[in-house]
Amino acid sequence: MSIESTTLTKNRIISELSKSPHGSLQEYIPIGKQAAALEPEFFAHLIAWDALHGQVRDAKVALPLVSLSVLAFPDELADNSFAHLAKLNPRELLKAYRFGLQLKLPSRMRRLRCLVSSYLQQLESEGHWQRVALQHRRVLKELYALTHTKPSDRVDKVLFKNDYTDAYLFQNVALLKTMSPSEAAGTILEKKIPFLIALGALGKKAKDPDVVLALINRMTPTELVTNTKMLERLGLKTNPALRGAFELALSKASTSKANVLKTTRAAEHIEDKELKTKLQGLQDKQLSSMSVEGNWLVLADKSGSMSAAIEASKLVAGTLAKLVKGQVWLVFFDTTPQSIDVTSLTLDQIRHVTQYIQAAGGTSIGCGLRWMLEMKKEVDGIAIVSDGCENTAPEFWSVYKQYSDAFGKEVPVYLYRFSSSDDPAYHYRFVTGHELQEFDCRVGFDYYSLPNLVATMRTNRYSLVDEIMSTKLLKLSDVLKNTFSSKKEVRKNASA
Amino acid sequence: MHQLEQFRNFNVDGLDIDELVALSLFGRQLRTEYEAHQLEEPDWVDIQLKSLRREIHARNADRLESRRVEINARLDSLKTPGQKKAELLKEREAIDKQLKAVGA
Repeated sequence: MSIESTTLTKNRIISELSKSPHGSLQEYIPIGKQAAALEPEFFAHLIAWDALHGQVRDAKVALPLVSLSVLAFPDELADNSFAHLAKLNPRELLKAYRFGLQLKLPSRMRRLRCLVSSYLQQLESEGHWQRVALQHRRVLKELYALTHTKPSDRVDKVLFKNDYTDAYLFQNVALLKTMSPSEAAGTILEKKIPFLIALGALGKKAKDPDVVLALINRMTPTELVTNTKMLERLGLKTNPALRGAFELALSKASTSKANVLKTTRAAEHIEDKELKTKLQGLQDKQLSSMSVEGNWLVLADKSGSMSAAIEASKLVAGTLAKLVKGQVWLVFFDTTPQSIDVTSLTLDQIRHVTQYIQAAGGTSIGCGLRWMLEMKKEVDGIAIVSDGCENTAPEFWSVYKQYSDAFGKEVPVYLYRFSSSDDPAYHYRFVTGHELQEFDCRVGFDYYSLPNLVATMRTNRYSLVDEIMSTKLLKLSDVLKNTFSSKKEVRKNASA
Repeated sequence: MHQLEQFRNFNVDGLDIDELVALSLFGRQLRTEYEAHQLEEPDWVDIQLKSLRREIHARNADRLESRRVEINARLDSLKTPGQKKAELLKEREAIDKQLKAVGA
């Protein structure tokens, strides 16, 4: 038996399920199953909350399915899980269906298959089917095949027989290659052809400035930042029209909350100073739209035991400091504190000022908080980025008591736990008997899930649980017009 | 004070057009206030205002150029087969003329 705590609190459910790495749905199973069995109502609301506020797409796929894999999960709550699956795009739905096959949902697999069939039928009846099919053709084919759903004649022609006589969008895409660059650009804009589809269909013509302009116009915020380097090669800096289109696309992207840390990564890979600054400006606008309320203290461990994880912890501390609204103090500590007021600094500036910090010395988390106490700086929350292996006085929890007495409030404490070479018994001693929420960043920590974790930080310990519980559950009938419980009904509806 | 700091130290590349216009407005108000108090205006006010104005003008020109290219492209895609044919005939005529001129 491990000495680490195995109690499953609501806060632990949130922290565990918010941090899973990209592409690994399996990671959600152990905690997810426990949570769905022990706290079914909370878990159902968590699915609804994550669909609205979550940053990691995998969680939106995995959580509903994990809940369905638990036999004891009540049917009325399962309806909410099905409804959230029905809201996924075809690509995510295919991923979910495959995961469902893997989980072998007891007694619910048939209903999932019927849901996919109803989903496909509803899509067929909607005006934007062609647009969806253009982007998800392979995925749709697979969904039809996997669920043995009979497509309508029109769909059958386009998807399975490559007959585009009645599909004007597919015809336009096929003709892009033969059009003049200006006409191709106009077609992309008029017909709103998605960037990746157009890029694939254009061939060498994609280098023409008129076409590049149209492509910029059709890029999603994530596509824009990840393709900036390519755009630079295609004359972004020298062509005024392209510059204008890029500026407009940047301002649209500044309100996007999707994968904001991808902008950070993209900015790192751009060599051109002007473009780099533009992306950094965009990244700051995106981050400020999703920040956490209140004044915060970020205590970042730079002790010797952190040498393996110092770079990651600096990155997390810097990003964390940026994501917090209000005033933010970033204090690096070993046995003495080194403080930086990072309020309103850009993420890049924070990373610049922390670049020479080296891991060395003992660990006294308390010294960072004592510095705040002596400086009479009041905060509403504390985030610790450390292995939690405190081995030197002053100890954090004794200073925390003094701090709470001095300001008359007990602020919530979050621990971003990194791996270290120290004895885990120190960590056990640090966390036992105290109210703190731990995010385990030791194995398979995904940098892109960081905004997900930060979004769960609150200045009031229980407000997030309240917020989650007040998120409305969905009904499958609200998402899909026709919901069937058997294949027979689906077929009957299709023939009607 | 925050806006003053921003006005003194901005980097035009990191700002969008709305922020540039807001800073320009702030700079002009600052200039008016110096005049109202009959204080000598610091050199950086004029330098920053000029660079803001230059950037706003350049971005606006880029935006218009981009829109113009977009409209032309859209018009091209809306042409009927008849219009396309007429254009090709006109182009062929011009080529014929050029060929005659070079004696081919």
